[in-house]
Amino acid sequence: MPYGCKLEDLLAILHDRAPAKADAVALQRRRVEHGLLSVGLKIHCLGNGSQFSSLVERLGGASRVLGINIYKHSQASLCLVLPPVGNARAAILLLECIERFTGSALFGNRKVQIQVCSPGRLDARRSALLAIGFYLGSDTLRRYTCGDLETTVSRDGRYQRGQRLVIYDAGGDFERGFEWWERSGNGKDRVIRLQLPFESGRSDLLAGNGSRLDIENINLLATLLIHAEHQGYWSKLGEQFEEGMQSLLDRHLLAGLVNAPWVRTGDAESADDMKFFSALQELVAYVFEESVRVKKTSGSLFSRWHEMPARSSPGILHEMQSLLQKYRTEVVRQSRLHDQGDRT
Amino acid sequence: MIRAHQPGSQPIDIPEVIPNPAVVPQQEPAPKEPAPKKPVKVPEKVARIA
Repeated sequence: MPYGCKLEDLLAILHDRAPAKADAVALQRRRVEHGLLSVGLKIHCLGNGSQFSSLVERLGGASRVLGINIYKHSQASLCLVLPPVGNARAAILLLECIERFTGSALFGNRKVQIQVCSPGRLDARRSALLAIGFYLGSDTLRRYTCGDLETTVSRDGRYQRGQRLVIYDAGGDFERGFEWWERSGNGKDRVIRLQLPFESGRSDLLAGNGSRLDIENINLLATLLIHAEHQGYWSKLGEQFEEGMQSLLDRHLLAGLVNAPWVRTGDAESADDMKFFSALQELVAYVFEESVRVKKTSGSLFSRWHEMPARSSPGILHEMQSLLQKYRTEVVRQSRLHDQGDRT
Repeated sequence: MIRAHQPGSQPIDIPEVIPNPAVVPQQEPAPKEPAPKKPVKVPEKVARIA
């Protein structure tokens, strides 16, 4: 993936209108927090993209910044590919800098689709868990039509990524220079490598009109799943999370969803867009129905969901929030324990 | 907005996006301004009557 610009150049321009935030990104850009993965972003602009004109011009013009990529959402006028940063907070700050510079909202904007890029390719099952976890954990519940996930590489002969929430990279530049945490031979000590263990490969998620929470959630989910796949420091936690997700889906009779092709792999069986779309529609229908139920019950018998009787399920949406909260807390707790151990 | 409509019935608008009822909306942290200074209390002079 060729980046549209160098981060230093971008920050120097953004500094004009968002000095404090641009400085904060510059400070944090390489910092990996709690062993979570680095974060890359792509901004697909579904409008005419005029709000980005001045920024693109100052970065070197459309042919240099935008023309190097054929990839974008099929309805987008432009796709701005941002260089990756070390943590989700820095990624959010970077978007806030661009918002300030352009004077136009990026978060929760229907004309802007955010793609969150995580290093490493997840297998088909883990890609399903990433997509489902993102959907259930997001602060907005979305309905999709077939065309919503169509990109310029959905059908072309070379890449054939299909219409999916999760899509693999198309090769090209890959920024390896971020910390990767793993465990030493005894399984207890933490070893911090200065490079990611993969030379290329990403699992990207088309978050749509995404939010700050979406970026944080995708970063946590991708970290747990990639570490489980590549025996990273959080691999055990990642495997526990997978079990947690599986039993959550079991409880709601949705376990079969993970067998759908949530990502287009090299396997010919994963090529069927409609199989994926049917699974997505089933999830969407279940969740929209539940959101109506939650609204009804929250106003009547139980003012808060955790006051419900123990045997009653609080619902898939609340269960997903609990799962995300549990693993976020656990990652931070264990990482701080190590930090304290390192200092003593 | 998706419009579902059957002949003879009222059209229903189905929203494409709704808030997740399980997520408590996060508020952006307000910019931290320095707290206003507390007024210095000066004891009032009490006139002494000899």
